[in-house]
Amino acid sequence: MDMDVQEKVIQVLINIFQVSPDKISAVTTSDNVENWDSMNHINMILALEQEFGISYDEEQAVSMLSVGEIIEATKGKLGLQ
Amino acid sequence: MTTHPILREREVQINDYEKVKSLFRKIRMPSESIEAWKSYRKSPALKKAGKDFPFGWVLESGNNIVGYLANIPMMYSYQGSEVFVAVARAYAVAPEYKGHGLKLALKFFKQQEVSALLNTTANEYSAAVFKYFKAKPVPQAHYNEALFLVFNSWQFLRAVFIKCKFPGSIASGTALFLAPLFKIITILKQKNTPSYLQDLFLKRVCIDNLVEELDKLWVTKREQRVFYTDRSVAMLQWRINIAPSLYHMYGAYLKGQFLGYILLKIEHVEHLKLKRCLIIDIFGDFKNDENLEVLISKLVREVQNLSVDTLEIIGFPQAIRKIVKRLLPFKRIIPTWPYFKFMTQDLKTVCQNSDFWYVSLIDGDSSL
Repeated sequence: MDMDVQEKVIQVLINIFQVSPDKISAVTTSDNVENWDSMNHINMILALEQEFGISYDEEQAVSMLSVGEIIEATKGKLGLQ
Repeated sequence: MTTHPILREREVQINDYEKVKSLFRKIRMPSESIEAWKSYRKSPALKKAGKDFPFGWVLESGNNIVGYLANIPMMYSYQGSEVFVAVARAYAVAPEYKGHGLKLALKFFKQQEVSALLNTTANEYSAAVFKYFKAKPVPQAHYNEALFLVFNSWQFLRAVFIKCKFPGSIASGTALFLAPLFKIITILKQKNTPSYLQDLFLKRVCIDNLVEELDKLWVTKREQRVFYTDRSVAMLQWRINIAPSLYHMYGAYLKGQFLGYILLKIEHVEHLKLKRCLIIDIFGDFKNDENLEVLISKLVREVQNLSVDTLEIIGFPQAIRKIVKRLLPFKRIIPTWPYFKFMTQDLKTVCQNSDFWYVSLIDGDSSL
């Protein structure tokens, strides 16, 4: 299940930021992805919320600026931690 | 892999001005003047705010400012009650920190002591941000449809061609070639002028000489079930004094009685080499549509004497737009729409009605 979450998160990010899979890993941050601006960040949040059927707090959503943080926050919302 | 020093978010201070200006220069956006910054801190709306009202926030990386969002205090009125509003303005984030911009938006949406939040110039980008934070577009139809008249065909056509990325000399030459034909079209369109009404006058006025009349008008209008931006003399003076040479106010009189005013702002669009005149506000009790139609026609003649290339109107309820459309203006779609979020339940309920709104360029920061 944990692995599913990580894979699904990365797949959403690949789709939103239009990057090749080798450019996204658990250590990737917003600073390393060219298309990771505020608008795409919102698109990412909305896509993740739809994918997992969850809703992030606004503060949490704004501060998720690395793939690792997104995976952890998503697992937290799904009760997997 | 790029790593940045830790980012710090804090309220902007007046002495951040030069660093914020550098940020805007870096991203090639026009920055505000220091005079404008000082003016915001003197807004009459502050009488309703706590002394700690934030005038915006910055993202700081080391010794540099890499993000900025201004927060302007404004006052509105609904059925005689004052409504304190914060207006988002001048958002900028350095490209290498673009993922962090939402931190500034979060600060804006989490601020205390305001009854409503507004963004009157939301483009596609900021509209997405506002929607995410549950703000809604103002339900006033056709806000993004600017109506305009052309007074200088050549300048206007040249601006169109420059906007279409024609090289400067080709834009000028093509405009020169087509201008006579376009001029004929504009003359034919503007031939349809309304009948003359005796005793109805429009004259250039100075706000300082109209204090009593404007106060009386505002005291009456602010009681209506319409969400009006504060048009008290103090607020109008504050707004106009940010750039006094750019504003022109015309008073409307019927048999010597003051009915209301029309406020204009001259704007130099440098990159298009176009001097346009914007109708910022039409406010008053003009008695009937015929009066307003005649007044707007008189205004058009006055504006032609200001040596501007175009006269443009954005926003206003349908009743006013309908009158302007009788002048057969041209139309263009603008990429912005006002967004709002109310904090109080009573306003959240009534704001869904389009009659609640009277939004034009005087609202928020549209014409600051």
